[in-house]
Amino acid sequence: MQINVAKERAFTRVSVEGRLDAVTSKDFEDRVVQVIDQGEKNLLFDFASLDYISSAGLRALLTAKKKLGGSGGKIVLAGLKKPVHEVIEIAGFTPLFVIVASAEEARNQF
Amino acid sequence: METFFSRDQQVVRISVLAELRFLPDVLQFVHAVAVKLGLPEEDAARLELVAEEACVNVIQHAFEPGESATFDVIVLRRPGQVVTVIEDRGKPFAFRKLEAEKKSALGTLLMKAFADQIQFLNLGDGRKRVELVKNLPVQKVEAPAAKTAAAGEGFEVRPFQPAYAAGVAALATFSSGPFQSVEMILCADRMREAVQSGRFLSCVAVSEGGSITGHLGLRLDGPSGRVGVIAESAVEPEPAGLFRKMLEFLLKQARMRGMYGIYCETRNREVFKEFTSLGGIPTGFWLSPYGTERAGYLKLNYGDSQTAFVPFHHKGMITRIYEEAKLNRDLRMASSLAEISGVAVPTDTILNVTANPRSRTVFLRISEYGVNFEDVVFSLMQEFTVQGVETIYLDLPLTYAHTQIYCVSIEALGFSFAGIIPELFEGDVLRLQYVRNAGTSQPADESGLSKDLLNYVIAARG
Repeated sequence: MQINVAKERAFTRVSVEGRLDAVTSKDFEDRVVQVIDQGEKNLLFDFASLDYISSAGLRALLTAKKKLGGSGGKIVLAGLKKPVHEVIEIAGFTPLFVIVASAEEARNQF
Repeated sequence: METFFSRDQQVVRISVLAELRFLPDVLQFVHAVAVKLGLPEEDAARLELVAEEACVNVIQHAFEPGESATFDVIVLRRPGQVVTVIEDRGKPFAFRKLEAEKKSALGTLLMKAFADQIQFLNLGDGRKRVELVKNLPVQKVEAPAAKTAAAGEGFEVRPFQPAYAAGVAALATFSSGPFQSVEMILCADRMREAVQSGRFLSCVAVSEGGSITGHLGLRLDGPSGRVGVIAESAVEPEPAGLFRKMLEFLLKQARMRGMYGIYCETRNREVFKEFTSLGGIPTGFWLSPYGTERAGYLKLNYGDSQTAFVPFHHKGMITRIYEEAKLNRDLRMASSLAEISGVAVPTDTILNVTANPRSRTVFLRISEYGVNFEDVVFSLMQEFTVQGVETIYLDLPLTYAHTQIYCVSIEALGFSFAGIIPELFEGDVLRLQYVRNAGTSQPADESGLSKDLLNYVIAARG
């Protein structure tokens, strides 16, 4: 798994490539928590190159959501591939996050 | 005895250290093998995901922290299915612990959503096993030429042959007549394999013009299976009498093979009526939110002599079923727990758990009583109700004195009498049911034993 973090004007973009599974999700979660602890409230998770997500990855997303809490911040998920979207949908996560087709479209959300 | 598993073809078996870091490589290998076995890419990905959740459960819950242990990941080819099996020699399933840990709930949810079937088995020698099943895709079937048997046209009932598989699949897909449990015959390849493996005995009705107008099957434990279960029934609405003729044909075949009997469970009143008109006796009513299923048994040949430890308070009804079904049983009474206390009781209860996520139904079959029997049932009941399961059927072997003793305490948990299933699992079983919403409509027009049994089942549920 590769994680790239890039600060943009109104948000921080976290791009993930590969898998968010029982092994890699902890790294992802740590990076995201680190970004939030640095004061970022708006996160764009660019999942266009994410091939696989399991319950461990879902829990990392929940941790990020909880960490933002009532700060008025926002998490947008962008570019979900079909298998990843299916898992997120079945887990009942779609009401919890803003989901858009692409990272470009996500820019309008912040 | 032929076991269900003996017809499986093991493709891969990997022993792996119970450490998370090895998991992705193993899972991606499972994914690749599943694709080689015919699963579409997206289903293989689902199987991989389900396997990860099961493996993580084993790694995190089956062993003591720091314990150096291994577990096995197996890929099987079963007729019409690809099965990933996770086996370990760790602690028994810790359902209560899993339930208490919220982080397990997401994994369990995904497993139920993405697997077509899940089975949990405590194998009794320290091993436990989870089977994760994905069905192979149904072969697309061309609509048959617009030629169905006209009313009055004759037909012939013949044993199934592989050449009929596509025609049967077409019938199951396009017939407007009554059908039930046609999951397997929709897939011609799966059906061919099941017949060749000896686990399925079936026949077809062929019209004078050569069209397949009916199919009826018996599921067996294996080539030497002693009891057949009526399944995979599909018939054209015309001509009349197709179902009965096919059933008569199969009864003759089964009798000649020395089978003990035929078991039937169905929501279709007409199917059950034909079954009882040929000698079938009602043995139970399975309640569920989706309608009540009638269950019955038709004795063909004398089976092995059996001892039955019938619970005291159900003795009257069960004895009546035995008598009407002409099943000779040596009814024994275990006077107290003392009678069974002389027998070394294993620590672990051995049971088979089959979940059907779509109908939110779980089947628990006890193979052997352990000292933790009541705890296991209670834990499973809690686990499954939290997960939204609507109906739990619990099958208890009547050949064990424990069934007679424990029945009352299990009923106190909310289970109630549903009936018996003769001979099916190496002996008779008592079926108890836990039904959260039984639905309001119940079968009408019952009479004799059927009526009394239905009333008894409804009264037992309270």
